[in-house]
Amino acid sequence: MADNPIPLKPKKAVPEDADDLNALWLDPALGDGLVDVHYHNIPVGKPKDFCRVNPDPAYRRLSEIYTHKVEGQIDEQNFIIAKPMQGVIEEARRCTLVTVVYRDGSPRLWPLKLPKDGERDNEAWISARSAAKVAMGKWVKLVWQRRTYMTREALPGYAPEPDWSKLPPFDELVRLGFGESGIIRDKDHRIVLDLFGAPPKKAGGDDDDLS
Amino acid sequence: MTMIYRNWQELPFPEIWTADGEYYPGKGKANGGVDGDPITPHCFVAHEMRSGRTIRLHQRELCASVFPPYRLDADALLVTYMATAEFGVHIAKGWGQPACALDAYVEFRHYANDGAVKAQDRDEGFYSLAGALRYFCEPELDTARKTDMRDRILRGPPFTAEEEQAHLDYCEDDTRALARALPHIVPTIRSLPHALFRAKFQWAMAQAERRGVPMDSRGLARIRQHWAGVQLDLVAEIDSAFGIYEIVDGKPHWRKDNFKAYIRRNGMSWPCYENGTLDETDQTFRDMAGKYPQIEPLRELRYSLSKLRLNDLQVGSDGRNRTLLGAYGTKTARNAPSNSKYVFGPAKWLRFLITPAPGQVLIHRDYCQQEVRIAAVLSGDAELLKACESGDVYLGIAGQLGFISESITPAELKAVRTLFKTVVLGIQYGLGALSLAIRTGISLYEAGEILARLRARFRVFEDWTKRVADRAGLDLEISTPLGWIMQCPPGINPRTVRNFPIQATGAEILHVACVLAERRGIRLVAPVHDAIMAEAPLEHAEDVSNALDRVMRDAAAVVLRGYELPTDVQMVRPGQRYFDERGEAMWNTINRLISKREAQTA
Repeated sequence: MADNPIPLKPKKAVPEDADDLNALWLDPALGDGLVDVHYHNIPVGKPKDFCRVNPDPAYRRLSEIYTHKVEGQIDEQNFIIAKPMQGVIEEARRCTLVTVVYRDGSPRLWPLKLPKDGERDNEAWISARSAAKVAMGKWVKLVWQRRTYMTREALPGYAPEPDWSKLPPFDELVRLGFGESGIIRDKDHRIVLDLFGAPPKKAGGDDDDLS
Repeated sequence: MTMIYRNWQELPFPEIWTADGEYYPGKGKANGGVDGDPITPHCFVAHEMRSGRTIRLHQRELCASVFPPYRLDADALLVTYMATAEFGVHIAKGWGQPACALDAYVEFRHYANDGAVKAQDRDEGFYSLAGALRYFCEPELDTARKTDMRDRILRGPPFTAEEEQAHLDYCEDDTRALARALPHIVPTIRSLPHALFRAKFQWAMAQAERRGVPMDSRGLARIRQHWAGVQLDLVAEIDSAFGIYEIVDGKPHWRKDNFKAYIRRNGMSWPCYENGTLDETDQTFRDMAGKYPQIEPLRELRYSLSKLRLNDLQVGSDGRNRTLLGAYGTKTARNAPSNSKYVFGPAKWLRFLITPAPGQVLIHRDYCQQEVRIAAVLSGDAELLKACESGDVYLGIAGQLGFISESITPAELKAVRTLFKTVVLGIQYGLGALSLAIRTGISLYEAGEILARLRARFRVFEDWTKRVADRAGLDLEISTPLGWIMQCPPGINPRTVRNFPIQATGAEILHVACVLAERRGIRLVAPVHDAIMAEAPLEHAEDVSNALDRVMRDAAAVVLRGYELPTDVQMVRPGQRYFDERGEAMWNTINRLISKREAQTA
């Protein structure tokens, strides 16, 4: 039986002539928490499907993100920049990192880009941020149209309100989203070395930039 | 509570009796008795395992005995194999119910309840007493002699003195064989109180088997008389739109080539085997009838012609359908009566032959959407239970998922309900998008979307089913609130595991309901999956109907820790027939064809 009984109906007392049968009841422990689901990685990027943005301020953070694109490759990799390194990499962008879930409960991190000091905001970024605001209260999908993001609201019945309680803490989401090597904490990080033209580290060297 | 007795001698009973009885139907088959008649006890042997005392009663002694040859109080344990038989003798003799009984068949079946093994993979007779002895490496029974003896006994009297003696010897052999099997079975019993409860349910089944389901025997005789001709008429009427059958020597034959041509002609996609032959199993026909509703009459015709053996339907001389109800005959402990011998088999139109005896009423009560409610309660999914409480769970869920708009027409609403009935029943065992699309005729995309919406909406239930599978994988077994266990070895079909808690809990609710009904003096005549049919004098119809509702609600409250399940009722009064919407069209067609034949003959 489930750990959390359904509070919809008052429980009925078992009649006396069924007492002996009632005494036979054993908990088959089918719904116990013997096993649990854990995320091992979380995508970072704009949502591709209908989604909801977690309205809890604890699940968003002003950050700086560098997106690394290798010439000739479609894939790109996101790096989040720790406080001491913010402002060091010109290619990095300020953004608000928000937490998004799809209807199956799977989370992702969505970086909402912000202009740098003195830089003009652009329509794509503005519309993405306003879409995220809409997604805090409704299931919406991003639709790219004429250099801006529009939102398309899901029809009734698409999904119920998300169960935010299932989400790991935000720091854990960031760790899962970017990976240990996806956080730039100092200038010894291999991407920083690459960006500034430093020679690559010797093979077998300590590549862990987090220590 | 869950103490295991390693040795049968440790069982907490001063006396342990193994017993076996033999009987024949009515006056015996040689004297006009037929399968389906109430049994007449022929001989009975009981063996007390501690003292070694054996009591043999031949028919004359049985007739004279007002009391059973053993005590019925809680100081004695009665052990039988397939207890409904010996309980049938008890009921026929008016001996009463033993306080403590053990059905070694049920316990052996429970012990060998492997979820990865299909019923057809077991050797024939695996669950018989001979099979149990073989399993435990005990000297086997002479099954050929057993068959001869059974056949002779079924023919009925007169019996010579030598025959009576031989029958008693044979009966004693079985009793002693059971005494050899019991020491192996006792250590496999996880909980004695639960085993005793299972035997109590067998008592309720024995009562129902004895009473039987009252039928319109004249109506049945009429159908049987014309059945051969009606089959040809059915083919002429229904198959004309399909052109599959061919009549050879006055008998209809299914032609695979014609069916293949029909499929091609109508541009239908049909599952086929690697060698290119079409899959023509009943299950595939049922699935494909969802996608192509136009083949439903053909499916029904095909079933009626190939599977329905009207003469196998066991109806006694008193017009009552009596057959073995096959308690604990499945992995989930649901009953598994013979499809052809029991009136509640798959041919729904036959149920229209059920009619009460004069002055009596039949009360058929079934749990409303039992399985989905059980799923909601077991998983603790309040959203799912809310859908159940909305009145119609199928429409409730369809509404929650956004499939019912304000402008929906009644016809569309009916179609949505049909679709969601398949969906809701399917999610319990993990129906996939492809199967859903095939069964309902919707696109694969739509099927995927419905399932995704369901998973999102009822995520508590979804999470629970995953935990059930994980738990079964860790424990290598899965159990129910009243202790019915299914082994879950590696390689078991995950759907079997997923479906088990719901089906087995449903079975247990019915078990408790039947036991309670007997205690409260309700005359059960048939258990029907998640329903019970009872019989009562016409003047007490409402009282008994209410009492049966109370019984079924109480039973659910026992198994589901206080949650009652509502029931629906169909009352069949004198002169009325049992009604089942699913068989109505076929019933009307068959009756029309018979009337036509009778008119032609006249």
